[in-house]
Amino acid sequence: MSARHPIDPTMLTGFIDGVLTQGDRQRVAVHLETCEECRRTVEEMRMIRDVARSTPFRTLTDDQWSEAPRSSLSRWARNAGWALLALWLVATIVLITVLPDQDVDPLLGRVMIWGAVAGWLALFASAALDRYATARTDVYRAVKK
Amino acid sequence: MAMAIPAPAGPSLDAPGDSELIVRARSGDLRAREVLARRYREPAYLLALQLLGDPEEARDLAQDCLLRFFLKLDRFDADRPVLPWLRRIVRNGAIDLIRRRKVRRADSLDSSGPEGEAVEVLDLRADTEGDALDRERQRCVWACLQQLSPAHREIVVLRDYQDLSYEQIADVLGVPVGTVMSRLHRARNALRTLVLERIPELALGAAARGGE
Repeated sequence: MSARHPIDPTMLTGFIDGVLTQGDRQRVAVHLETCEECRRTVEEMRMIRDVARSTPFRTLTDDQWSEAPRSSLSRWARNAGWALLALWLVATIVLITVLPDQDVDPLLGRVMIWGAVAGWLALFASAALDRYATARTDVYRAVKK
Repeated sequence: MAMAIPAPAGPSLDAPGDSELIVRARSGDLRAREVLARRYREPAYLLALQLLGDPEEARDLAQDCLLRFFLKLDRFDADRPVLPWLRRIVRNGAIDLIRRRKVRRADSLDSSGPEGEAVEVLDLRADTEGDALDRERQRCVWACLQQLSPAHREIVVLRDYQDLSYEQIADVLGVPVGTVMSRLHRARNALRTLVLERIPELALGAAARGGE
């Protein structure tokens, strides 16, 4: 509060939401008649609140609700798995088509084999995590037991 | 002339009250469980979506919260309203996820994600030019909301997107009602600053409306 603003500024929010006592509401209303700054604050906050209230959100369909829930770890493992397999595929194509007569460095060969294995393992882990999450979030699980 | 109306095949989706459904669900009635799940999954999802900004995380959190509800059903007081309880656990779950998200980002130095505008969660179909302007404003306010701190974001979501009363907000956040107004004022001020940076004409619109 100050000489220029003789009301608690948080009361502006209470004024917008209509939660002030009659006395406080009148004090704010009287102040707003003379204070351009607070009047603008109230109007801008009110406009933003109205925009927020009218915002429509996408809801989920029955099919989306029944999709298996995926944890972030599962999504990460799935993305990493596909990325590794894609890299392996590109490297294999390059070796076969561009460098058919070159001897492959044994280290590179090992990296490629282990990269492909790691890719498959990541995809397998992602699927296993999804199965676990599905089982865990089955609302009928307690009844099935 | 009176017409014969066939009786519905099963229990109506909306007719039974929560307490009746909870009692039936406890005794193993799968239909009652399904009605409860359908009734509360959307409110849980929307709150989670507004708090997290990510549809997949929101769906997983809503499912997780509903699961907790069903697992606690035997101990749940059937006369207690479900929604306030559900809001609290969705909010607590969202806070945990946001904390974990921060740790992951700090680990991976990845700054992209739901805070950006790439994840489209709003239903922005516009039939008229006026609609298009409204949608643009809604998109802008939503994008600015994602930039607020979690504490500011949650109170704006609860009041302005969920339209809860100060008492309901105090119940969800576990704070005195008196704290809600001051916290909400700070949050709205922060949001207003961000929005005005993006759409300065909002200030002109507000001035014109205030002068009416």
